[in-house]
Formats: sequence, C-alpha cells, structure tokens
Amino acid sequence: MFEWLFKYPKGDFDAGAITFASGYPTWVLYALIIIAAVVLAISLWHRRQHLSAPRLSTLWALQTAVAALLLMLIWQPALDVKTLRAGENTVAVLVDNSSSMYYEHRGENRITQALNVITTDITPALSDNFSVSLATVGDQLNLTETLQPLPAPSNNSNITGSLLDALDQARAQPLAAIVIASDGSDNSKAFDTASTDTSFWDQLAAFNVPVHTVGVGRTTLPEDLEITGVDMASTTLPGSLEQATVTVRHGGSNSQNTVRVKVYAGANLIALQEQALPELPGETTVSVDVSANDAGLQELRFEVEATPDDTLVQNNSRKRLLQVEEKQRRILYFEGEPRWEYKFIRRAVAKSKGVALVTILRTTPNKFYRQGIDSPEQHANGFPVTKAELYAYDAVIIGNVDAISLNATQHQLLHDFVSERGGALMMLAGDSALSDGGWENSPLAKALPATMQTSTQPSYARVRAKAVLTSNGQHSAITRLDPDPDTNTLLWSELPELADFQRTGELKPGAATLLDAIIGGERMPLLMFQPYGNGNSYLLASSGTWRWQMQMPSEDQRHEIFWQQLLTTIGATAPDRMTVATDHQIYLDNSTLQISANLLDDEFEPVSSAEVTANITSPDGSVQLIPLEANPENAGEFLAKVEATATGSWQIDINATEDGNQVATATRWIHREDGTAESYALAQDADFLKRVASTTGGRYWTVENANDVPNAIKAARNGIVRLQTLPLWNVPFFFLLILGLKLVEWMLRMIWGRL
Amino acid sequence: MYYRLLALFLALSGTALAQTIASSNDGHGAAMRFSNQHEFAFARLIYRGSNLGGWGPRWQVDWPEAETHLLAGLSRLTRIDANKEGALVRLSDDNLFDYPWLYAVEVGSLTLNQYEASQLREYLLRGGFLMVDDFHGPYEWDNFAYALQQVFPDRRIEELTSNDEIFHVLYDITERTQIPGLRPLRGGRTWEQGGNVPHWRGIRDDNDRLMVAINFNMDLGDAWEHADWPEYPQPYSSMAYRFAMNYVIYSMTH
Repeated sequence: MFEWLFKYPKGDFDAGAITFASGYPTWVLYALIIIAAVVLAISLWHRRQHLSAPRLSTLWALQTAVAALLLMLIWQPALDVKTLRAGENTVAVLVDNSSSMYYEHRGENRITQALNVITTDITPALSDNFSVSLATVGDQLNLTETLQPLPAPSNNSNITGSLLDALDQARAQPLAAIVIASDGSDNSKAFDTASTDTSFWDQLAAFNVPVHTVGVGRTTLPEDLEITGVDMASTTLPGSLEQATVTVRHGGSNSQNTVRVKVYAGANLIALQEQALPELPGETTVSVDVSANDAGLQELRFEVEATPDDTLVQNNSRKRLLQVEEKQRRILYFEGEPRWEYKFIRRAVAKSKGVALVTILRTTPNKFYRQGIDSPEQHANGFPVTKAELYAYDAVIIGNVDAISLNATQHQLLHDFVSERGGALMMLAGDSALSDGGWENSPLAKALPATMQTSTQPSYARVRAKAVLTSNGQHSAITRLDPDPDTNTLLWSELPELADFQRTGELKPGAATLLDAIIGGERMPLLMFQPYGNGNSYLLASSGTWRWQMQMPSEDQRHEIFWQQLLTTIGATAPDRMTVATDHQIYLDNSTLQISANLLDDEFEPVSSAEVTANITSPDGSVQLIPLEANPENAGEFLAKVEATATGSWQIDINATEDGNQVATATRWIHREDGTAESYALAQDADFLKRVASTTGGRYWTVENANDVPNAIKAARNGIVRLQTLPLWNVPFFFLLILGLKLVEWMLRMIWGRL
Repeated sequence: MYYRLLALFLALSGTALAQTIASSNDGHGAAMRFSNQHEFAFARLIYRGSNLGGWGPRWQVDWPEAETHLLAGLSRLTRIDANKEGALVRLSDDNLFDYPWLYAVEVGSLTLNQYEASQLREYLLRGGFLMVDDFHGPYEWDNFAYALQQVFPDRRIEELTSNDEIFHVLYDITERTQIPGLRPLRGGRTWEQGGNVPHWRGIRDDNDRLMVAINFNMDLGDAWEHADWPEYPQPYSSMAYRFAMNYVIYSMTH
C-alpha cells in the first residue's frame, strides 16, 4: 500500500532525504503560499454575511492547503536516496547445521524450517541485487555452493566464531549484510551470553556489518526436562559435605508436580533430593548435599528422572568432578587472655584433618603461649608484623584482644589480609573485643560485617544467650548440624545457652547473618559475615560456645561440628599462592584446553620469573610435559593451550620452580566427553540472537516474518551504493490528497447550502 | 569456727541466689546474668567425707583464704580475668558444668556414690579439669585411687615427669619440690602420714590431654593460704603459686 501511494518502498523514505528538484528558491515557495493564503482569506472575507467565521475559517484552511500543495508540486519534490549497485554487493547467508537444529517438534525439525525460509523467502529476493554467498555453521564456518544437501550435522555450535570468521573473510569485498538462521544455541568454548567479557561483542560491532538473525525453534520446551547447570565447589576436604545447586529447566507443575535429583558417584547413588515444582514453566534450583569420600577424584553424575513426555533424556544429566584433597587450611587464632572459648575451640578442631590451627595466647602481659607452631621461634613475639608471616594463613581469628595491643602496622596488615590477600577474618566477642576494646577506630572496622555499638554502656555481658538459626543459617554449610533441615533446626533448638554475648551496631549492607541470639526475649545478630575486598569477614558476637560442650553429654558432637565447619569454611575461600584454572571443567565436544596458572610470592605479589610446567596425564595414563608461558599482559599468569583428544578424566599437575627450587604446586582435573554438547540448551536462545542483531545494526526475525529480511537489507544500503534523485511530484498520494481536500470542501459547502 | 560456718552459709546461699535472680539493666534488657561474672572461677568441690576433727568437713580445708590468695596472685601475674571469690559446687549441682575448673582438697577421704562418679566422669570427658591436693600416705592414696577407679575404671593414673607440658605452659618448672603443709612444717617436716615422696600424677583423656592433676604428698592449699604468714616459707608459697598457675593455664588451653 505504502509503495502504491508513494511509488517507492518505505525503506527509501527512511533512509533518504526529501528535496526540491526544480532549483527555484524555496523562500519564493513559502512567500507564494503566504500570498495565496492572504488572497484566499480576503476573498472569503467578502462572503462573511453568508457564513459564520468558523465555517469561513475551515474553508480558508482547505483552500490554502490545496494551493500550498499545488505550489509545492511546481517546485518538484524529490527523494535523494542511496541505492545499492546490483550485483556488486554480497550478502552472506549462514545456516546453523548443528545437531540441535535437527530436534523435531510435531514432525518438523528446525533445519527444515531454516532452509525453507532461506531458499524460499530470502535468497531468491536477494539475488536480484546481491551476490549471495552460502555457508553452514557448526564447530566452524563452512563455505558452500549449495545448501542442499547439507553436510552431516555438527556436534558443536560455534556461532560466535563463525560470525567473526565470516566477517573476517569478507574484509576484501563489500559485505552488505549477514543473515544467519539458527536456534542461537552457541556451545563453543567459554562463550557465555551473560559473560562480562565484551571482547566478542566489541569485535562484532567493529566490522560495522549488519547481522540479521532468524530465530528458529521454540523459545521454551515445556515437555523437555533438562539440567541446565550444576554449581558446586571443585575441590573439597575428605569427609566434607558439599552443597551442589542443580538448576533444572522444567515445564511447570502442570507437567509434573515434583522433580527428583539423583547424584551418582560411578554407579552408586550417593544423594537424592526431591523438590516441588512451581506452577509456571521455567528454571528451579535444587540444593543437594554431596558427601566427599577419601582423598582422590570423585566423578559425579547429577540426574533428573525423565517424564513420559521427555523426548530427549540425554540432557537430563550432567557430570561434575570433585577433587577431594588432603589439604589443611592454616588458621591463626590470636587470643588476648586465657579463656575457655580458646580451649574448647582448640579441642573442637584438634582432630579435624582440614584445619591446622596455630594459636597465640597472651598469658601474661609479657608472655605468649603458642600452640600448633612449626618451630620454637615462630610468633615468639606475638602477632605477626610482616606480610609474609600473616599471609601464610588462610584465616585469622581475633579473640579478646584490645585494639591497642596491636600497632598501626599490624592493624593495617589485618585489613590488607582480608582485602588484598583474600583471607578470612573472624572476630570473637569479649570485654576487650570490638567496641569495648576500641576497635571502632581500626582500619579493620571497615571490613567487619557490622558496625560497632556506639553506646557508652559496655557492649559485652555474661548473659544467657540462646542461638537460633536465621533463614540464611538454615542453608549454610557452617551451621549444618544435620543434612535434614528439620532435624538441623531441632538440633540447634536443643543447644544450651551461650555463656555471653556482645552487642554490635547495624549490619553492613552486604552482610548476612547465619545465627541470631535471643537474650531476654530480644533477637540480635550472633554470627554474621560479609565479603570484603578479595576476602571475607566474620563476626561471632559471643565467646561462650564452650557452654555447648560443657552442658551437653560428652558424646554430643554439635560443638565440634560447628567449629570444624566454621573454620573449614572460612579457611576455604582464601586463594593459595598458586591457583590453576581451565576454561571448563567438563569439555563437551571440545578438545582444546586453555590452562592458566597464577603464581604469587609469599607476600601475594605476582611472580612472573618462575618456570611453570604442567604434567598432563591422559585417561590412558600417558603423561606429557607442557611448559606454560608467562602472560605479558597479566603479571603472575602463565598460560598453555593443550589438545585433549581422548575422552575421560585428565589430570593436570602444575609445578612452579624458581632457581631450581619448587615454590608451588597445584592440581586440576578436567573431563572430556563427545557427542553430548548439542543436547543441552535446546530451546531457541532468542536473547543471544537479538543481541547479535542489535550489536551490529541488524534485526532479529522469526520464521514467520523473515520474508522481509531482503527488503531490510536493501533499505539499509550497506555496501557499494550510488546516489539517486527520485521524483515525487507524480506520486499518487499528492493527487489523492488534493482531490480529497477539494471533496471535503465541496461536501461542506453542500451541507451549509453555499455551493 | 562459727564465723567460718556463717561465711560458708552466706557463700552457698549467695551463689544460689545470684544464680536465680541475677539480671541487669545495662543495655542487655532483662537478660539473665550468670552468677560468675568473670572468665575464671575457682570452683571448690563439696564432697561427702569425714570431718577433720574440729575443723569441719575435709573439703572445706584452707577455705576461703587458699583460693582468695591464689586468685589475687592469678589476677596480678596473668591476664586471666579471675573472679576474686571462689565458688563452691557439688557434683550433683546443676551449675557444675559452668565451672570447667574444679579443685578438691583432702581427697584422701573422697567418697563418691555411683551418680557422683558418673557426674565427675562426664564433667571431665566434656572438658572439665580437676586439681586434687593435700592428701598423704598410702592409706589416703588408696582411698582416693578407689574413688577415681569408680570414675574411670579403664584409665590409669600416671606419674607426670618434669617434661610434661603442664609444668611449662606458663612457668618452666624444671625442679619440683614438695610443698609442705603448715603443721608438719612446724614439726620440722615437709611430709605427713608417711608421704615422704611427692608425686605429681594425672589422668589423661583419649587425646593425651590431662583431665586430672593429682598433687599427692603435698599441700599446695596451705601454701596459698599461708602465703601472708611470715612463719610459712616464701619459697614454698611461690612454688605453690607457680604450680597452680600452670595448672590453671593448662586447663584453659588443653
């Protein structure tokens, strides 16, 4: 309709500019229009005895509009527009040929839909103006002469890489646009649409070529149950309980009421969790507790039970590796005076394999009693004064120590221990602790999860305080006395009162409480924490948990479990001097491993001068030695790329040496499997396709409206163009408009009896 | 004698009263305070046993000066927040487990029934510490050993050497001397009832930590009690203080 009225497509008007082709000065046009308006007004004024002023004004407006239009047509309106040169520009048409495109729904698969759109609606319409080049997208870009027949489907969708490849290859030729028909499920490398890494998007935008994405397939698959992710620690201590968060995509409670998540270690079922599903389709997280075995690698398989409608069961399971390591977290506990809490904390963790507790106890004004030390000289003068001494620990506990006991350097060291080194700090209550000990002026006060009480009253008192779980505490590994939530709550409710309590001020915005204390009917935060800088800070507003031990039967282990879990957890978050990472833990249809190791010295400054090597053991036991190269852009980082072709679990042992001396080691396991990548994220990722389109100046299309893609590409005029001036004086719209205006005038006159 | 009984009555009733009605208005609302408002309380064990002639029950010997003197020294020489007054506690008391330190004197006459033995066993296994003192000679030893046998049938009493950590935790006590009571000292002896040789003995838990420190053939209580008597030799008091402080620090660290 638009084109019939205006002779040219709407896109031409959107992209072009309207001018006058006659060459006459435009001010003359405006002057003549004004003169015509005045003449018409005078003419109508003489007829005022026959018509009222409003009616005369209406007639004047209509007649002036007709006169203005006629005058404008004399000036010859035209449209200046760039038009693409036929045959001189290229459009790349890409079809996603990965396995997920062959997923069938109601007898039709996605690849058929994509081919229909491309071969019927897009390529024929483009062929008039463009040279069309064809390609398929799988694990890489494959240029092809024809899309029929297609090559065998790929086990990978490398959409991001293929797009960049297509753009790169077309640098030498005028590429007007790229059209890609895909389900948007990119499972290549470490690509993540939610990633903050903007390099892909920056590269894509830099080519300045519009990419039109045609989304194929449904954006939701209510009949398909899938584990979309498993979030859990990759390393743990023997015998620990690790919480795994399993994300399950489901069709809502109309499809099934509950979902059962099973965890297998090899063939053994080691955990099972059933959870009710919400009414609406979407994603639900299920928390499952997984017990770690003895030291070694634990290969875990998380599985959800398939429903009868679930057509693809391969995505109902995911693998994860759990490295169980005999690793001790080093924790320093500095106590300002002999206290029962000190004794009972030591006793509680004495048998914990995961915690090496070093304690410095100020027994007299001039004596420090040290336990758990490596040598008689260690900490002989009390609290550490150097980074190297303090940073050797993963966590630090400060007991009943008044702030003045430490000098300014030590206060700053403690602050930096949390913020820079990434260690954990825990402060305990006491009559010389926190605000009663003058800590509010320490740099450390910034790190703590709560402000300090500003009242002049002592904040510490030996009062009966009952510990109760908060909602956060009910799900925390620190406060889990039993895996069953109800039993856990019961076990906490049975614990006797604490021996003391210290009031704190307001919780900081990022802080969370795991335990509250009830004192005289009032509820106050007891155990709280917050992330600070690279590390975490904790505050236990009591030093009276020893009553749990003394008041409960000797065989009761709740006090021990609490302290073991607390110290293991706070120590576990601190990074080691050397950390090793790979771009994935589970490599699905991807054999390229990117290994990175970060090495720090004893003051946690990056070290780039070391020699770092990786001993890589394949599933069949063969070992290859790979040197890691120092990354010049990131001090302390060493990188290597390794091809891991065989499927199974691979062990990567990193060894760092300086001057022939070993300075650090680290181990990382990865798992390789083939033929499964395309089973996950089966629904169309429309968000990804929309982002690709919007980043490049293209548009996202559906199968239903993709027939407009050629028009959009033509209208965009990207590529080699020529400038055209298209006449508008003869467009039907103007004639119809003049006719319409006169018709309206005529009808009004007839109604008013003044023809 | 009557003054001592009156003081004892007041101490016992005061402890019970404080335990039940103590409350505060210092910003902790209607919170119930513990009767002991210090970290360390010297709890003396009240036990059944024979009287010591006209001196009252044996558990009461040297009370209260022994602990008040010792606690003054403990507060002055260490950073322990110690209650200046001692506490008195029975094995059947509800608040027994609020005192992880327990002192028993004249334990040569210690008598425990089955319930008391199980209470003491539980107290020690949970982490409590017992120091026993002022019993002498083979007869009293046998009586005490029998009582302990009721508490721990399977644990042996062992002789502590000078290398044991308990003698080095605060003071390095490498040369141990017998601490005499005042009465034998007046008679020119450091021993009594045939207990010529001092023994430092103990019972350990499953993790090799001492739960019971046994001072046999010596009288540390007298040395604390009479620390302000010119008649009592200062070196003995000094040594008795050091032993006690090491025991206390050990009990609060192990």
